[in-house]
Amino acid sequence: MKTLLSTRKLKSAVVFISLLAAFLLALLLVGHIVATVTYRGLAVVASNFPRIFFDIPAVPGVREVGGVGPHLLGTALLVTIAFSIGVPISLLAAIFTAESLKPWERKLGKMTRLMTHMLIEFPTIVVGLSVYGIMSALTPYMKTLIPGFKPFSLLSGAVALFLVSVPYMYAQIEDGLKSIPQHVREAVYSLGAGRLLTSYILLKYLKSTVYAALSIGLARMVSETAALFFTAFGSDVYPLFDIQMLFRPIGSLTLAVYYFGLTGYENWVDLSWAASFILFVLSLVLFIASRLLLRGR
Amino acid sequence: MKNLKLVAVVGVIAAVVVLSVVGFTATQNQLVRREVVTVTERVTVTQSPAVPVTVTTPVVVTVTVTPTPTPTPTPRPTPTPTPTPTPSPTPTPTVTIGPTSITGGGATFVNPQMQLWIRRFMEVTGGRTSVNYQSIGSGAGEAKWLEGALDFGVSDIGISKAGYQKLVDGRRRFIQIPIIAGSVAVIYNIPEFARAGCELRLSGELVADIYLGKIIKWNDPRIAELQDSKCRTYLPDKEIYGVHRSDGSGTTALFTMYLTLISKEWAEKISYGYTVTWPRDQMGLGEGARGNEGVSAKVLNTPHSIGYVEAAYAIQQKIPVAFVRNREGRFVKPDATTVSEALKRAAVDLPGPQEFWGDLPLKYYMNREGENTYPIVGTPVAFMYLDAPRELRLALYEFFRWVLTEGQKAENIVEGFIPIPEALRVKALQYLEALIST
Repeated sequence: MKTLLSTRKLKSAVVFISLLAAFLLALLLVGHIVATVTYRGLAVVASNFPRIFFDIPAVPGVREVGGVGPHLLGTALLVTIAFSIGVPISLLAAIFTAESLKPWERKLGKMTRLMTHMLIEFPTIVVGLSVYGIMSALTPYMKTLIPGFKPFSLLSGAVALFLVSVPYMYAQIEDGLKSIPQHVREAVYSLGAGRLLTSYILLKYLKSTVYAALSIGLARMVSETAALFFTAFGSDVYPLFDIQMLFRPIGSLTLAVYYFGLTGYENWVDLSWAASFILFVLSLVLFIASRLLLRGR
Repeated sequence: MKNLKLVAVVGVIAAVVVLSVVGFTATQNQLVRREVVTVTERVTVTQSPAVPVTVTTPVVVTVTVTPTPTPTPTPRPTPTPTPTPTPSPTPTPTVTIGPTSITGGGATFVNPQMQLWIRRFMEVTGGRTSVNYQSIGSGAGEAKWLEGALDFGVSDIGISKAGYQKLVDGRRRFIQIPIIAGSVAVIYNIPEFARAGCELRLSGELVADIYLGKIIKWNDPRIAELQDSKCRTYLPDKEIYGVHRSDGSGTTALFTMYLTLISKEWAEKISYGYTVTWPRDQMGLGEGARGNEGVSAKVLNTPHSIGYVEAAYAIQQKIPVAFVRNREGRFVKPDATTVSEALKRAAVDLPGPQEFWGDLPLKYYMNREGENTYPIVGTPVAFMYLDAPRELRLALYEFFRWVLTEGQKAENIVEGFIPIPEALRVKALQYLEALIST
């Protein structure tokens, strides 16, 4: 009897210790990333405090690091454009699939859901490459309308970011709408509300879910790299501010981290750390915001 | 309530971060101010020589240097008209063009130099022409330029055979110009040698045989006979570990081109390219590493290893570089003199700007005559279309003309890079004229 108990205790202890070890390992990894990025990045950001947000990168091999102004601007522009197209589309698509009534609507809704879930699984570099392919194919025709049209552009970058993050936002909002009990929905309908009004009311009911979905989408856009390689292309100088700006390459913070981090120049590597720290803070803020909003549910 | 707590915690964290940042800046304020001063100094320095009239004088000077290695009996006709290729002695920024933006991409090696040129050029022109260069790699640069996504491309060794065929089939008109000198250094790590203060000497045949796996150990008699008599005994009885680039790279292309040129067996078995198969790997006596950084780190951390990196990188990082035997039997290291010496000779018979340049280093740059000539050299090549819109061509002309004049001066060259010699530079300027003459 006693021996049995002790083996049980032993088993329990073994499992507990291994769980604890796994937990500590995971925590260690996250902690290491956070600590390194903060340690390497914060010093650079702090010692170049206001400049780092406005300046262009310094030339390689000198003491000063310059700044990531063009990249910050690029990220802001890309995310703004992609987000402002992405939000209404993901909202409307989610409403359509969740509130479909007629058989053909249901079929189309199912298809939409299937496709979006496939798109979530897609490697983002493939999304970027296909956007590049589409834009290259369009270029000869678009050139007659817009002379400066090129596949490497702010527009392509925004489209790629849109394709990367909309599936997430859509899937989350749609899940939220689906989770509303049928009797609540029927109650709204029974008051004589149309479908659009109904979904408006239901979305208000889901406010926190929607906000959380949108902030996750935003965080994905901010931190996306692979999809931007052959679309936004990157730029280390400020673009010319005119009408054609939409059709020119633009920088992004993530691309700055990648390109500067790979070089052998100390000041560029520092710049890369600074860019990763800024990115880290941005995504942390978005992450905390989404958590807070989800809690408020 | 829970919400409030979280908000409070986040607020406190944010406050701490902001405070620490402010504290940091306060302490480092002096440093920042000093940096700002250096920046302004730099600006004034670069803007003063903005007028490129002075360029004409150095042209004459070095031209007189070129004929000294007795080129008089050679039937080569092109080098003599050197005074003429100053076709635009007037500072050309007079071509008034609207704000234009140029997008280019390609070779990673030139990226630091390119970024410096872009900054200085935009300072000089007041940002009227905005130039954007991204280091996406030679292969990608060529491919995206061919697809029309880039205004200009840069490749470590010139447009590939397949790419050239596409251009010919499409009847595209374009030019290629060399923009900066490049060379490959053979690096090594023999602790016994370093302790004895000896420096390694190699020949192309030996390097080829080492990477082919035919020479196994450092104390091989063929290696020993090249060394200084007092250094021979220090060659260890250890196996040579051959490090090479694992990623596709122009450095590998140049290095293998040289081995192809020197060793018949290498030419038959391996040939050249951005990536090749390495026989020494299959013997377990070698491995690949990513980038110049990876190769040099591997060599520095592995005793008795050998590797090759871009010479600019080796010079900058102060890695032991081997002497390589040139055509005259002299042992030379890559530096500004030996590399320019090789390229200077190539300027004489450089093919036209629209010919196939993919084997240019192999045919024209490498293993040139001359006592003080380093054999493994190349030039990153920029290429652009002649049938592009006029405004774009003017902007490209303005930029590359600046690169080939002001850009080759010492104050606009990144440490470790080597400007192209005068004769080649003049030739490139000549080729560049096609951009505005059509």
